[in-house]
Amino acid sequence: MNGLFTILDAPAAPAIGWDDLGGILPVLVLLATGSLALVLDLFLKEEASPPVPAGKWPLSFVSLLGTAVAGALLCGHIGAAGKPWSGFLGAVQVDLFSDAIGLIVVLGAAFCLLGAGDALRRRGIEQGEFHALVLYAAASMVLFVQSASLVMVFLSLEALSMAVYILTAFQRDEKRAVEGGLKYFVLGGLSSGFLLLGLAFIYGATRSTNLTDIAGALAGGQPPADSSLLVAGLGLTLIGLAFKVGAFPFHAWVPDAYEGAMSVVTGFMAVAVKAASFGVLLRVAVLFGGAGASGPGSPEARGALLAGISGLAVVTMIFGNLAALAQSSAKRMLAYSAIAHTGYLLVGAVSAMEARPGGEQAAGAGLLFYLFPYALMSLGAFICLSHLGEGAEDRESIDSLRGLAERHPAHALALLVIMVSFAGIPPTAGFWGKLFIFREAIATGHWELALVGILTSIVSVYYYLRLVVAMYMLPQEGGLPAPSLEARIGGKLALAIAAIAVVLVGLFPGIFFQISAACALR
Amino acid sequence: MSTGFLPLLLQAAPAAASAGQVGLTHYLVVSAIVFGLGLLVVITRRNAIALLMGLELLLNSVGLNFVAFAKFATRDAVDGQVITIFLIVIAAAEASLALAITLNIFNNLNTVEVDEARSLKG
Amino acid sequence: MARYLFLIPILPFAGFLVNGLAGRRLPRWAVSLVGCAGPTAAAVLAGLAFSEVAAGPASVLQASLGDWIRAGRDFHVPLALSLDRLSGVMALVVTGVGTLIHVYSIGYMREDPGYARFFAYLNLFMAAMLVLVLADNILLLFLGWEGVGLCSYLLIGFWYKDLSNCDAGIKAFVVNRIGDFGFILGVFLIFITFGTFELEAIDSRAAAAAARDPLVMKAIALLLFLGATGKSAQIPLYVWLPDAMAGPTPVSALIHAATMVTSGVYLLARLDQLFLASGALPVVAWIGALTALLAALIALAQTDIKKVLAYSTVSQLGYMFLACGVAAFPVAIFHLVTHAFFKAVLFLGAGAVIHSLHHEQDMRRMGGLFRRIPLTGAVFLAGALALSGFPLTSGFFSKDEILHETLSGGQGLLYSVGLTTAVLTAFYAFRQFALVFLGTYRGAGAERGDAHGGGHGTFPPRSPRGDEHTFPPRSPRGDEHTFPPRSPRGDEHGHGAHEIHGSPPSMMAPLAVLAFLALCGGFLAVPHFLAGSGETAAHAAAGTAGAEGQVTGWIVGGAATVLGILAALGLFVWRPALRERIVQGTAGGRLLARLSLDKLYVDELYDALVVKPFWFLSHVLFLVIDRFVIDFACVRGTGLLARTLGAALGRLQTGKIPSYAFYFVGGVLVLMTLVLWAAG
Repeated sequence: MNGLFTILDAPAAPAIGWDDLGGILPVLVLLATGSLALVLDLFLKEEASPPVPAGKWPLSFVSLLGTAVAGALLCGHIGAAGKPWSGFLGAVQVDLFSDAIGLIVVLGAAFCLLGAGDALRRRGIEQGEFHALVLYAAASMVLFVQSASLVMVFLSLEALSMAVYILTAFQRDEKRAVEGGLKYFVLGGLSSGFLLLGLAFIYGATRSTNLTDIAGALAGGQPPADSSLLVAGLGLTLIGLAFKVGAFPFHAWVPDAYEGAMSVVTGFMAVAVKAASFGVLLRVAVLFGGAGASGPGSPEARGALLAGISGLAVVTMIFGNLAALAQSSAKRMLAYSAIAHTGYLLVGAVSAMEARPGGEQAAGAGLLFYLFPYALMSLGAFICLSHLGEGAEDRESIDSLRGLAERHPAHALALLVIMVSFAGIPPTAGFWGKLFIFREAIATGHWELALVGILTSIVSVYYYLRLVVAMYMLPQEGGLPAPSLEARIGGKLALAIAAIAVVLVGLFPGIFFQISAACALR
Repeated sequence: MSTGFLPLLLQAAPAAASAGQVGLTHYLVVSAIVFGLGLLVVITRRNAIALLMGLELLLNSVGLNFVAFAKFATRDAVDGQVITIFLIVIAAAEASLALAITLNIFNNLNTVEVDEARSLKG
Repeated sequence: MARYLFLIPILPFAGFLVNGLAGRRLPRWAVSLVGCAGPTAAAVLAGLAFSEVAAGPASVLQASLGDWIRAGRDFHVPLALSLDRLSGVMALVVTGVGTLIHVYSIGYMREDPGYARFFAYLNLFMAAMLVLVLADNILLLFLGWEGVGLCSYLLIGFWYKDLSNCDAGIKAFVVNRIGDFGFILGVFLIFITFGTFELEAIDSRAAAAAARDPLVMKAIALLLFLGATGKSAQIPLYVWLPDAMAGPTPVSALIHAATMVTSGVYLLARLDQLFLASGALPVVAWIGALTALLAALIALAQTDIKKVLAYSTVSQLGYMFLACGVAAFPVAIFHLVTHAFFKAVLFLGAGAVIHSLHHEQDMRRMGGLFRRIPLTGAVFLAGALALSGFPLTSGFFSKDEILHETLSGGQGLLYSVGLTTAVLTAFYAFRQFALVFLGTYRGAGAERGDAHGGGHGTFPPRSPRGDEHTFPPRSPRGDEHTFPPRSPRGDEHGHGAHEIHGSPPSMMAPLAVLAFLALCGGFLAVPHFLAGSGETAAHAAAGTAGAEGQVTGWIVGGAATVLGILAALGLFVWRPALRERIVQGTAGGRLLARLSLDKLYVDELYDALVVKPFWFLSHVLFLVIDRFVIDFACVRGTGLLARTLGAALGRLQTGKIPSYAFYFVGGVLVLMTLVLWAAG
């Protein structure tokens, strides 16, 4: 009975101290920066009206600085190979895995904020709330991955969801943005209901709220009080997380919310929300369904999770890739491609469940590796669409990208690199990501998942290539006029970093794979 | 109406249990019924406010589950009850957010029928 | 020398970086200099390295930059290059022929606004191809493999900005991805079986592994071969190559004839022990022989000057795979080398013709060009002779070695397929030569100057650029192409001087070098040199025993070639003259002529007996297999199916929240059923 709130029964033993706050310093930095952005906005309001080209640069500067500090703290912890640390009476667990996922979340936030200055200024809605919401969402996401207790899982999930709902509908005089926000919210509420029910079942079946304790008891040979209740709870939790990562058939919100939101927000959602949710998904899957050092703790739970995640992976890969084929909007195509990539990452989660602790393969190294290039590609692509936009519009349709290679060759080249990487063609990062994930799957005996993955990724080449064809081989007629991009430094910077990093990871994947393997779950 | 259930059940639980008539299963069944009603509302209703009420039903039925598990399945921990309190807070926050979004939907579409919001599709 | 091995691919890559990044701001001469300097330097280095390897009996140059990837305990890939005799020969061909084609491009692409971009792509291609050839492990090889594919795709879509040619590019890409699917699965299986990616280690352990697990080895070999059929345009994946001719002609010569498309053959030769041990070679041989025959049949009826050469390339690649299939890997490489020479000549010569005629590609509107552009005609003739396998040219020796090896391997049926193809090859090569260079000019301006123009009533009326070879208005080589004042200073001006012009020296010089190689390249003893590394004794023994058979083979092969050439010349050049003499001669001749109902009867007889069946067969093959089965059913059909499915799935996305909620709950039911069922 090592529950979180035993403290209420024994008030004499203070268990939460300054150490606990120190452990979640990156989260605190993000929260503080967000609040600072809100306050700062008050002082900037008078002088910065929309036509001013530089806009509210201090806002961007401060919030970017916050993400930089949080990122540096996380990097430092990874670099020092910090020991797993558990705080807040076991509700929060910080280890290299949560650091790595947190880093990707912070990366997503930083890119979003880099591109946001231009995007908001164009629409005349440059407000501190946006920066604050992005930072709060990022903080909740980092906490989400660090959750070791059912309460924390639930609270941080709700916090991050609400921030992202608002971000989706942030452009509130735009019909499509509000519609996307509404859909995301209603379906998100539905999925939260199922996730919560799942958590309740897990609690009821194991009589504990601490994930580590539960898994420890299972691995120690104590069967759960109610095995089928546990399985049902895990299934429902899986549904909630599958919704967040956008797996078929819980994907319906993805295309609509991704299209409705501003492209910078879409990039943030596609990367940060997905990375954080995959972090928790992987943790739950490995804790309850992992192969275990001496066999799985609960064979039923393992069987259920393996079947559930494999099934989701297969249908998600097939659905995402096929549906993307028919799209004429680049943004929507990328949304479906994000679904397809959820499928590939789910394959990585399945192989992670096969890894034995202390064995040769670290659980989820492939998934973790792929998340990084995936983040770079998605952020680069969505920020590019935002960056090339005009007024309240982002550059969304594939046709509007026609002739881009002639007008903005550098942008076209960057987008080309990103698309080639998405399609999984060497020597880009995307190729290695797919290679590692499918190699893990084959090595752990899930060759059918790898086969579906390879086949569907061949299909995917077609739709990624359509963007390249439009940019490089079609005349400009019908395309939108080229906006002047001189003043848009943030977007340029983000796009350049993304494209160069994709190539660098592609050329030197070894280093990044070693980091991923070091950060994988133990 | 949804918030009315919970205090009622919380009061009734200890007495009924000691009488040996109402056990964990009863709570779970009630909770399942409420959850099912919530689902039904979300699937069938078109009005954004009604949808919101359905979502509230979902959350509260889960709260009921947590409290029941805390009462029957564990003896000395109050985790389930505390989670339920958090849950009520979250439900309130979610409601305010939902109303804000609904307001914006009304501003843009002049209706709160969610069917009308279908410009994003395909 | 080994230390400088990395410079060989890096130098062209540096050219790519300079031209790609700064090319727009550089003057034209600087772009040319940078573009050609990288390949030239690489060629010199490759030559030096090669001479070092050639000196010793079995020496290998190796260079490593340490680990490329190290993941886990067992998975590591070194970033290493190695140059042995095989890869040395390949590197020489790639850099040598590549450099010549770069020089040629200076003249050919002179007017193009994308000049720098073109050289950048070409340099990138060279770098990728050299990585492919010099790679020490199969993953690095795959990197080059995909790199050359990407460049090929970029260059196919280089000029032609209209959709049909983009389709060609996409088709090339999609078909190649099918091949790559096999390749990557094969790589996975190799890693699982051998635990390494290093090519030499795989090759040396193959025999033992095949004894242990023959089925897996067969699967590996067939999967890799699937990759090879994609890249090297063999049945069933050959369809992309003819369409790839949409690219600029130097690209067709370098990528789609001389180097990239031969990488499948190189892969097989590189892993020869693996293929020998796998027992999959009969499949390779038959696919190769059938591709050779099929493509030669299709080439007979083509009217586009580049399409003939494209199908000819497919056919010659088939020969190479046939050689691989009868375990004569060195001979396959020999043919690869000679083919690189003569096909480069033919393509570049065709390019010069196209250049001279302002982008006319239809052979029915050519003819009689030998008098007007004699130099081009001469080099083209050299290429055609070598392609036909005319005695003592390069193609003669290499093709004959293939046929010889097939026969001495006891494959009588394959031999007869090969021999038939040889006759057909000679026929279509000289049909093309006759249509383009002999007879009378039938193109634009022929109405004015040529009295004989009417003699070819079977040719369709000239449609002013209404067909598939339309050029976009923004292409520099549009219809209104006026002659640049600084270009060819009267070097080859014939009668219709303002219409047909010669080519600048930068185009003619590489052509002359290649023509010389095409004629004399057969005296390079490539197979013996390659075989020298390990199988000297065996090969020598076979050589002495088969010497007599070799001579017979030469006679048979030479005869087949001469037969084909004579038939082509007879039907396309000499027949009109013969007919004329008969008609205007004696009374008996007049009778004969009347019997033959003027010339129409002869024409129809010829048509009915010779042309029609061939035309019919080759068009049926072309239509049924190429256009329908593969193009429609496989490429377009699957594409269509996928897009239809995609659109249907898109329709599920109604945009309405209640239906989304419904999907969600449906998903919950299905997933929970699955989960609870799996938990047992």
